[in-house]
Amino acid sequence: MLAEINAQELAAIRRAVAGDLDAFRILVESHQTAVFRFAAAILRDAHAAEDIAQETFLTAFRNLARFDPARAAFATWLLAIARNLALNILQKQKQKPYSTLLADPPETAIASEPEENLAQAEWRRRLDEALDQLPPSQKTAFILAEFLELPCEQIARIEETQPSTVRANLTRARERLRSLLHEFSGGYR
Amino acid sequence: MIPPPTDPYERWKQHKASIQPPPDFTNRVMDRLHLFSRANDVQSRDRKGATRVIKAMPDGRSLTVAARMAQCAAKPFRSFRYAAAAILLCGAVFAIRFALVIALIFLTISKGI
Repeated sequence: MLAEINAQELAAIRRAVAGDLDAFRILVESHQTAVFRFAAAILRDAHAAEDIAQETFLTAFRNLARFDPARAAFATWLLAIARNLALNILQKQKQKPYSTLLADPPETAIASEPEENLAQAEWRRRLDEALDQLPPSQKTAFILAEFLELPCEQIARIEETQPSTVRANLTRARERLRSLLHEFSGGYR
Repeated sequence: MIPPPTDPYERWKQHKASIQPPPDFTNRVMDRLHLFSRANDVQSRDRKGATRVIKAMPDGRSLTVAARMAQCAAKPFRSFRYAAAAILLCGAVFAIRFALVIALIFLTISKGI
């Protein structure tokens, strides 16, 4: 929707389509955090997340002329590209179970706070594992809703589905995480 | 059994929502982008998206040979598809002919009897 894109961003997109790399730099700076955060949450590996985030912007630059501001916001379009690239990586990881990506301990990849105590780190690991057990559509919907705080309508556009499907996926994801957490805590929670 | 710290779920969410890209991320993207945009004469992708042919770089280094090799590498797959289609078509034609001959023999025998 046009309303979702501010005039400055639209102008930068137009200049970038014309080949202005400085204009594209503005777009990268505006959206890099969301794209990187999304990729890092899906892949749980800083190096892989950076690769995917970089590839997302390169793919966006190559296809910028095809971007239609009437259909979706630029951020939505970028996150859809990042989602597809990240899910492709996950698919390849499944095919190659001993890949280096999986072999890397995820907690060393995303730097943790030094003051964090052991129990908190252990719980975070368990939550990460629980998130990894979700099906891809539920996982990406959950990450977009909880970590990037996007509305269901925008998530639906990213995932090319209906908002009702996204809501159902989110409900299932939350229920599944809750039950997994319950198992982890041995009924503590 | 490890008891959960104060609202571990919220802390986990906060941690995930606070992840930042590396400080020089923008520069790294732009470096790759400069490299890409300097390469001129970028031809469109193969129908299957197999090759992106870059003919020449601005420093004069020609990538034509590599581009040709990429094109040639993509061709056998296309030829293979055509060959497979031709074999299937021939197979279908022979199957129909065989069925007709069998039917003719059957009819001849049944009429003869």
